[in-house]
Amino acid sequence: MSSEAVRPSVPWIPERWQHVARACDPRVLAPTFLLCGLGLLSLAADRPDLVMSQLRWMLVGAALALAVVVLPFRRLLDLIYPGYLLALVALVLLFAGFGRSTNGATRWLQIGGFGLQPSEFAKVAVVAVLAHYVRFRRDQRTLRGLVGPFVLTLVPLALIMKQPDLGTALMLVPVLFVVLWAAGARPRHLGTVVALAVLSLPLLWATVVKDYQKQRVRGFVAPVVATLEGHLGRAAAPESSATETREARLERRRLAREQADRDYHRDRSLAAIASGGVAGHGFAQGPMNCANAVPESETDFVFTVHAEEWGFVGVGVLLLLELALLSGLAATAREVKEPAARLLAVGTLTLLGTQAAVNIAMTLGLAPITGLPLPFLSYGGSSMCSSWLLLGLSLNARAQRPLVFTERDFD
Amino acid sequence: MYEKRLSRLVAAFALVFALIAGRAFLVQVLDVGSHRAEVDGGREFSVLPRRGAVLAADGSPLAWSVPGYSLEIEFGAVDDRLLPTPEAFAAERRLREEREARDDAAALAALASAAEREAEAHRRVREREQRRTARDELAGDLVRLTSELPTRTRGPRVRCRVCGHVRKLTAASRSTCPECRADGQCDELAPIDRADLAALVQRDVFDIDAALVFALRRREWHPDWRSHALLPRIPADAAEAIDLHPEQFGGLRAVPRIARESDPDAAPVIGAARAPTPDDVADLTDPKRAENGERVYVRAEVFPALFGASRLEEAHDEELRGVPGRARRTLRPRAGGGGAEAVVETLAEVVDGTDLVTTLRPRVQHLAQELVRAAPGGRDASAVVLDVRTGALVALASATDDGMDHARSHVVPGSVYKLVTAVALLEAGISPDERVECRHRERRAGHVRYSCMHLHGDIALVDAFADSCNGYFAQLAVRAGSEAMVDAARRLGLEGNALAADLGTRGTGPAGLDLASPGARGWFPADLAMLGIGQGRGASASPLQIAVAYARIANGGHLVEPTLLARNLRAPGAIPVDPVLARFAPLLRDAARRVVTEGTAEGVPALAAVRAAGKTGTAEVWQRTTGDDGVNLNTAWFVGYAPYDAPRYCAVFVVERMEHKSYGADVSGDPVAALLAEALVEQ
Repeated sequence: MSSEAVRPSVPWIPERWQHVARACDPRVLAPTFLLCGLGLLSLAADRPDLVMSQLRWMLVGAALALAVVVLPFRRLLDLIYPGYLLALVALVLLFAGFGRSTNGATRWLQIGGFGLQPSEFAKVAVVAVLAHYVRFRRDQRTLRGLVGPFVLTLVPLALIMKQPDLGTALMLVPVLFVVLWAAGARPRHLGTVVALAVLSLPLLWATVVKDYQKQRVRGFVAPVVATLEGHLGRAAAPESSATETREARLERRRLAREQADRDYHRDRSLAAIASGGVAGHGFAQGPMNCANAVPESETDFVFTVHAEEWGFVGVGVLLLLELALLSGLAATAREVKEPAARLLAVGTLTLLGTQAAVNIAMTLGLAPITGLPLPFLSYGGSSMCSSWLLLGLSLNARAQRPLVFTERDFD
Repeated sequence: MYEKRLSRLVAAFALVFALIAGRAFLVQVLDVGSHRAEVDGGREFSVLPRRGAVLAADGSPLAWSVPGYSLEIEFGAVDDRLLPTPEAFAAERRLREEREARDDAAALAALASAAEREAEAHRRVREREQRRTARDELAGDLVRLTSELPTRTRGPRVRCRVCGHVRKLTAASRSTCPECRADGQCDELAPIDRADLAALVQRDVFDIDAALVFALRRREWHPDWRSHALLPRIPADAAEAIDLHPEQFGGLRAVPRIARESDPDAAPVIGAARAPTPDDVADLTDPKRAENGERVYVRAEVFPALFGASRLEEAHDEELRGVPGRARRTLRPRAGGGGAEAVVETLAEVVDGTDLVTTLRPRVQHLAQELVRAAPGGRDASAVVLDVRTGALVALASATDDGMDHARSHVVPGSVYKLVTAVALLEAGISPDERVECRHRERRAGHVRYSCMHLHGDIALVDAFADSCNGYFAQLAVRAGSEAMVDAARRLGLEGNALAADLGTRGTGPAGLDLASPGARGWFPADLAMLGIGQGRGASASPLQIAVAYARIANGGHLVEPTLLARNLRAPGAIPVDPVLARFAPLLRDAARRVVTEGTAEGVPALAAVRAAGKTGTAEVWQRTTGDDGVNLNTAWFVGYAPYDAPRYCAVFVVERMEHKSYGADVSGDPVAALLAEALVEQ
């Protein structure tokens, strides 16, 4: 079964663009555009001055996706490793003096007049490189075969973690596991890896990890614990000890401040969402939003604005659209035959899905506040472009004739 | 297998999203109330108490809090376009430093000697280094803050002209205020022109820049702070201009801030108030206070408060300060429509500071302070006026070089102490009619030489008191003995530090004299002889104590205590009577009257005019000059009460360390008469 069979040609489009038209799967693109629309709506209610900029980024992202779709699939595959290396270089450049620090983290690469978040593009690169690496292999079914994909993922992961940006870094983990799992890796092996990682933690903790790094890890863990303890519970401040070093003490104080900030953000977000009620307040009528009481309302907490203004009905629509997008991607993953294309779709699905789920869960107090954008809704050029790039990568294969000579679906 | 795993993956995501939807349902539909109640609470804030006023007996204010203005930066409303660029900051800094260098040069040129110039130059270089370090830090912070600007930029803000509500500029919020629903009343806040602001508040642009950077640095340290004082005190007209056109000063507001003012003439009683020190902040915010059931303050409550620094303001500080209240401002969706409304709920009532009503009478106090300030030769002087029936302090004035309160400090009393000796010898059973020989110059009683003004010959108590005969009192003090002397001093209230509870003990010299144990060697006859005439070891009393002692005789033996607060006053009938003092009072009052009519104060007609009685005192004080050399100086006392036949007020006036030929009556007689007249006239 070829992809042409799945998507009949569109009659009113010239022949040479038929493959692009085939790639533009409405099951993926319709929810995407609608989600973008919801994002613009929230932004217009919140920061009208940013709407044009967001619209521009949206068009840039869509154009990037189109550019990716237009490329022949083989050419695309050839670009994956260079792209991956480029992403790594960008991540390294952050620490080579080209980075811009905000709130104690170096996440932005300053290029000329505008900034760029290499970690966003690293996510795309990891999805692509995993798909490329695994596509003709079978050794992912063995424990040893897992080493390659793990190394390919852990290198950028470590670099992102060093920024530090734990939220983005951890997004790579489900992508790695799901892609390997979809490619046929045995759950037994994946479980072994997880067990090994968990078991080696205490050893590392006791030997390699420095005092201030421990504080930092505690700072990462504390909000998770707080979230588990009860969604409104306050996390205990990291404890002081008589022997702590100056670095550890400074780190502890910084973390205590951050924790207080996170609690505040979450409480504010929950209050705003609750104030939305069933039907919401309507466009630009949300009291918390109008009162400027929702923190980071244009980026990380865009869902909060949406939920306040459109209520539970709006939340339901948004969640259904997310689900529609994911199932559209799943349909692509099912229909294309090229193994790399399949894995690209699976990786995209996992990354976008996880990110959306974690972001929304965070605004609802179900997950710790980590600073992840909501794909297609949050304001921000890097996030918008990387999400569109992922879509482009997943849809590209639909435009192509099947490239494989043997039927292969990781069975 | 791939298909199956793909289906499972989608199913897993569906499950996660269903869970999220469930949570949203819980938050938005089922459990709305609890979330709003729990977390919609906005922020708690403090309601600051008013510091109590200090009032005179007639209710006129002696110390009061006046509103002034400070300039605050409101982080929520500020547009970060406000920050100076690093280049502009550096330029302003250069200007400032050039001017400082010029000032330094001018100040050095004005100095005469080369040694002074060198020392001053060293000091100035050191100070300049310190300032430079501080400014380097500010500049570094500015560069950092500027580089972080993109994440900090908050975009333009609007402020409602009607209700002052500040929020983001949005299409909807532009036209209608969500807080008060006023249409078209919202102004976009402009970024501040730093030069304009500097001109308005009469500061340098550099001051403004530095304050801005410092404020933003503060916000980094305390992200929960909503605002920060940019300038602690600005002129009232600047505050008005900022208040009238808030849109021109986006993010700034003039905040009323209380300052303390007091009647300068009442300063020796009122003392001063001060801003909180880091110690105050640490003490009041100490969580351990909760264990003692005390209020634990938050820093925002301590910073704007005023604290007593001395005297009454310090001794009654807690009472004057009051206790801040707490309230919570909650933002609720407006019922039946968009927008929000603020609900303020009181969590703890604010307790304003208590107004303290004193017994001071402003006109007498003003006169007293004027008189001590006009003391001859600018010497240290002090004055006290007491109501003899109740002990109410009518005036207490002190003008001293060291800033201490000499009206409550121990001063060598000289002859005014002879009242104590008189009471002691009467108590010891010596008849007032017994005559003692005064030989003008004597060497008696253990090799102590004392002299008398005149050759009095045989003299009895009343005449000796009126003429202030040293021979009589020195000899009889030895006969009366130490116990009688100590007992008499106690009865007359010469022990302890009077008014310590109301005025504190800071600034009053050594604490109360311990009459009972004059030292390891005990009382020698020579000591007693000198004590009898108010000189030497153990002879020490404060003007306030002397006023009390004479008041106790004037009122017929009622044991009045000096009282400053109206609420502590006792009715004259409720004051106990000392039987010993009551028995000797008529005789001693007669003697005191004789001082004015035919004694040492005979030459002061003003005293006779106010029908006063009293006692002069000229205490000798040896003051070391160089090495073992010294000069004898006189401390001139007069203590009097009036009218002599029905005493109402007792006044003391002391000028310390006058030239040797100054005598109590000449120096202090007229001021006491003036004080008594003023006190009596105002009845």
